Amino acid sequence: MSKTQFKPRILGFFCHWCCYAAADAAGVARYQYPPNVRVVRVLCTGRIDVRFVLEAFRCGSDGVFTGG
Amino acid sequence: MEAGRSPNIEILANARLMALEGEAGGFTARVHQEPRFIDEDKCTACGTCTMYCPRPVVDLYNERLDITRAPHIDYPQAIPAVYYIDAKACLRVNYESCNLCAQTCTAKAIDFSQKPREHVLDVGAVVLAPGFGKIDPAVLARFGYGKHPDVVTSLEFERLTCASGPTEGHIVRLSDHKTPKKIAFLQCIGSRDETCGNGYCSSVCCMYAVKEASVAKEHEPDLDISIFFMDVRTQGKGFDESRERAEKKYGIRVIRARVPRVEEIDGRLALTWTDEDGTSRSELFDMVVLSVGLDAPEDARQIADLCGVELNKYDFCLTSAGSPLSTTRPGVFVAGAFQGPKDVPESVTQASGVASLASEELASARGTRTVSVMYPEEDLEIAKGPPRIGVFVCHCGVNIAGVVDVKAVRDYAADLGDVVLYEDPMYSCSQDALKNIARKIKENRLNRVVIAACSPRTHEPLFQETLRSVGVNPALVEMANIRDQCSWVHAQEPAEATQKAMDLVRMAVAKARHLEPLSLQMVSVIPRAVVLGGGAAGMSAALAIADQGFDCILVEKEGELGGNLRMLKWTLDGQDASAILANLVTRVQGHPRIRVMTNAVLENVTGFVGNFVSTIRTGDSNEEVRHGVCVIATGGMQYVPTGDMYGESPKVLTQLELEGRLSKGKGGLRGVNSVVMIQCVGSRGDGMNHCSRVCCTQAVKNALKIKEMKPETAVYVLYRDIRTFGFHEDLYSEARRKGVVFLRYEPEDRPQVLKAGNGLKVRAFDRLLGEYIEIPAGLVVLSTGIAPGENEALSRVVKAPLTPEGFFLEAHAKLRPVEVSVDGFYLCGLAHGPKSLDESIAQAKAAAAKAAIPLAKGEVPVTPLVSRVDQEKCIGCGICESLCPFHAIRLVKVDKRRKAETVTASCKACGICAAHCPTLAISMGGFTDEAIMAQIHAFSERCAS
Amino acid sequence: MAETCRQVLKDCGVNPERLALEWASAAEGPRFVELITDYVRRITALGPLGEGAGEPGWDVLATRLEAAVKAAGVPKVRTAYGTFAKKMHQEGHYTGDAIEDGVSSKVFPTFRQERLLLEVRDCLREGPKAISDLVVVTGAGEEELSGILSAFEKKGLASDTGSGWVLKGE
Repeated sequence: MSKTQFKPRILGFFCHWCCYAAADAAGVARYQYPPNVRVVRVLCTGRIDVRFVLEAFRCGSDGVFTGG
Repeated sequence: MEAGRSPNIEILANARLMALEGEAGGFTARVHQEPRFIDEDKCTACGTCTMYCPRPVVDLYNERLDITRAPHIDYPQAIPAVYYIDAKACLRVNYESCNLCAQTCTAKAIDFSQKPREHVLDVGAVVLAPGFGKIDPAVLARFGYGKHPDVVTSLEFERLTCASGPTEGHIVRLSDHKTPKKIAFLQCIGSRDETCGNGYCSSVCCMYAVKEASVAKEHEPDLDISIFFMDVRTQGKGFDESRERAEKKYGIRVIRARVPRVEEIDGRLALTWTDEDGTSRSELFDMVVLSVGLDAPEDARQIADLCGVELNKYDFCLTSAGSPLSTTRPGVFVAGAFQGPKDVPESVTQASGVASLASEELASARGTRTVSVMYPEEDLEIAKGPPRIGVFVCHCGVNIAGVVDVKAVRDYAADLGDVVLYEDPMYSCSQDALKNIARKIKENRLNRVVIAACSPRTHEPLFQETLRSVGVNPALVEMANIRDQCSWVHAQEPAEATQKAMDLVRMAVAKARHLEPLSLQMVSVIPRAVVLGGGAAGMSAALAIADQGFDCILVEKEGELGGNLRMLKWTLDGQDASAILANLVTRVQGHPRIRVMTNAVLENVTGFVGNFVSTIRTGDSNEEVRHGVCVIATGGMQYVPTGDMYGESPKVLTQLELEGRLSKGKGGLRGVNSVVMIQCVGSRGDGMNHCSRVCCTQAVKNALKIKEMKPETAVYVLYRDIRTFGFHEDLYSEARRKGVVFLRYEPEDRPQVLKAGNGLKVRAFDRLLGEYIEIPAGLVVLSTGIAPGENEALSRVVKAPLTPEGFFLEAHAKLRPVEVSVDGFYLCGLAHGPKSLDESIAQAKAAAAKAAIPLAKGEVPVTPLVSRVDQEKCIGCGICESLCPFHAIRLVKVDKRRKAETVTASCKACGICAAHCPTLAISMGGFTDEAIMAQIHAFSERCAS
Repeated sequence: MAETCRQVLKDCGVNPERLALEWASAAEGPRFVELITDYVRRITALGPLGEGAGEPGWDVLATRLEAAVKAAGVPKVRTAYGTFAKKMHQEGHYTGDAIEDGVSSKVFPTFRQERLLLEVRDCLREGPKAISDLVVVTGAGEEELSGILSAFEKKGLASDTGSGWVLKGE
């Protein structure tokens, strides 16, 4: 796969109250951003277990974005 | 939507008030209701009647830009969510012929036997919210509207930019249906125009023009857009910031001029205007948008006569700064644009405010005529069986389906394991769709539901309730956010967006398999409120809560009540501010339900909505008070100028200091022949970023006061934009008539205050002369902005977020303008942002109305998403207890061993405990390890397990 | 959490920059967009997981990460992690350096030890392996691996057959 075609698959862990809300706000304002992130909603970044992050990489995620 | 769902709101559509007799607490209202010819209980809003009707009618909802048929619904989310028949157009109603709709309606909902109905209603209070009217077409005609098809109103343009509008969001010229290249927005059409009788400013048009221009640029990036402003009036909270961002991002051209007329030249539209330096310019445009103002409702006088209320000179409802929501008839209240032109957040705030006034009126009868919803008993067995998942992929009109291939996503879901039902509703949140989901859950014995639509933050409660309505535990629904976080943000990449939607649905289905029923607990509410801040907002909120029948503790940090209101001498509409202050203080101090604590601050809060324990420090002593809710009304501060020789020369004052002088009579102006006022000191990038909203009107008010007391005084106002919005515009017009000189400056060329012998002078650029001038100044008055109070400390104590400017952030600008994201906390006054006295009072009433909801209900539900400790696995290490930010985990002795235990009511479900438990003994309701792991696994096809 | 993950990822051979921890409040839609856009750009530049500069291939990473996930669920590792978090919380100085030092001295060694134990066991389960094979797979040094293997041997869990190490009794 050449670098130009590479479309990373990224898993996001978004805090319901902060980053998830910010992402919704971005939607309401119709801002555009790259479609590479799939989101797992959590009620706080404190919920994110080390296992979740490592498991995401084990499952082949090219990146993990935790957003508080 | 919420109004439509409440069992205690009866909606009489197609109806008008005929008479209102009696008095506050005991009115009799006669209401005439026209038939809709469709049975509300039977109609499923399927649209078949519209499809078969042969009779076209102009679609008024789409501003006459489209046609519909005699039976129709204005828009899919309309409440009641049922169709109606336009009696004027219907062949059956007028000629007894046709009847096609009745024959094709499978729900048998068409009913031509319906007759007009007269309702006689016993009510205790009345709220007037008829909205605003349209600007007279004769005014529009001056700008070529009606003559040139490419001159459109902003309302029409709004429909053109709307994805579900007549052109599906394509911006076209109505003459040739081609995309225009160059568009001009003309502001103040029917506003700030005494020649058409509307001397006031409509307040909202500057911001909506910027919004429409931005949306248009998003649809058609190559558009060239110019907006012709007189002043740029984007004084709302956060508006300046959005506008500046839009101007930069979309390259919107700002021209400061009023265009007198529009002429057609060879199919294009010619505009001619005079620049600030006096040069005449002209340019051709392809399309002209008239930013029409908000007029009084067409039937304002009729409403006023029927209700016995007075109007102001512009036919809006008459109110005063001290009681902004009360009409001249006791028991009749007003909210929204009928009270004066205003935007959505302010209208929603006022709406909550009148709810408080009505509740105060009706406090003694509370609960006597209400009904409550009964849910069927929960089917405990259904969740125990193997997962039977139903997936509903929402079109949301074109909001989702315009980008994402909804049918493909639906079919994709069909192939996922355990999915037994898959559908694609047009609007999953519409009443008929919800009814359908409920029916399908029952028919298919679904025990897990996945809704792929918008955000769970806004819509999850709605779908949870749908599950409850058919006896299924509400925790068994999972949402995939394919609108806010997919179609809306990947509008240019439909294939990628569709793939993302499929992935999100697959992840949601994976999580749904692991969802478990959770029981809903209720906790009782301590019927007492704490109001922080004893200024105008705090006192108004406390009074409103107390008048609704609840105890209230008013906490003021200073030694006496009043806050910033003590410094104000006159309200913006010229009333005596001290009289309003005295009235508030007397009523607060005399109220049996209000306890005032002065020299007091909130030190700490523990607990949760309904059961807070607050520590309030007075001097050296601390007192713990228990309460159910809390209103933040801690106010703001006057910005302290750092330059302009303030503090160096006694001749440099702030507006409030000037008011103090003027209140002492003519002596305050002895020896002063000229006064120079400088606007935006501290505001709009001059120390603080926000617009302080009130300073322009305050300056104009004081300028007029000077002219009244000593007419020969020269008064200059150096400004960036004069923002005398609403009816304050009258003061601005009067000031210009009386000879107050207004000179605009650019922020990068700010006026300078200089010494001139023993006196002062101000150097500024005169745009018309094209040169710098020096104005001798007997007094220099700085219009200092409103700075946030000491909000950081309080923000940490109550865990409520602040805006970048340092004001408290509301939970949602339009939907929840007086609530804080922390349950049980409400917000009003300057703590929320700069505003005038009447706006503070209206907002205080609104906060009080919201705060009274848990108090009146007496109990609140506890989130079922809390942590649970498996005490078999727990080793009592105490890591969770020490890490919990809410003190919601304690260690208890069980059989002589230390075990952790959740304090359910304090738990905020953050999950820090679970993420740090050495033995994985803690699980989170709705967010179990298994569920999250399942989502991670579903995320990737490269995953092994 | 993030620091622990970063150190473990680095140990496994994953570029720790693949993990981002960012903050955007509810009001900060534009900031969120900026963060996400930048992040996607950075990850795109790094290339697919396992193919970035200095990253071993995906096969090797998969084994290491699998062991790391298992290690993250082991009570001993979690106790070290939780106890450190508790200590940080009580002392209240959350500087980047303090967290980095603390994790590398208090959490990471236990984590790595457990990851290697689990990974060696997983590898041997697939068949006899020479220490040199294990070096490639786990990324650990020969000395460290010999230590682990001799500990296994003492407990009677594994033995050296001459043609490689094998698990006993499985």
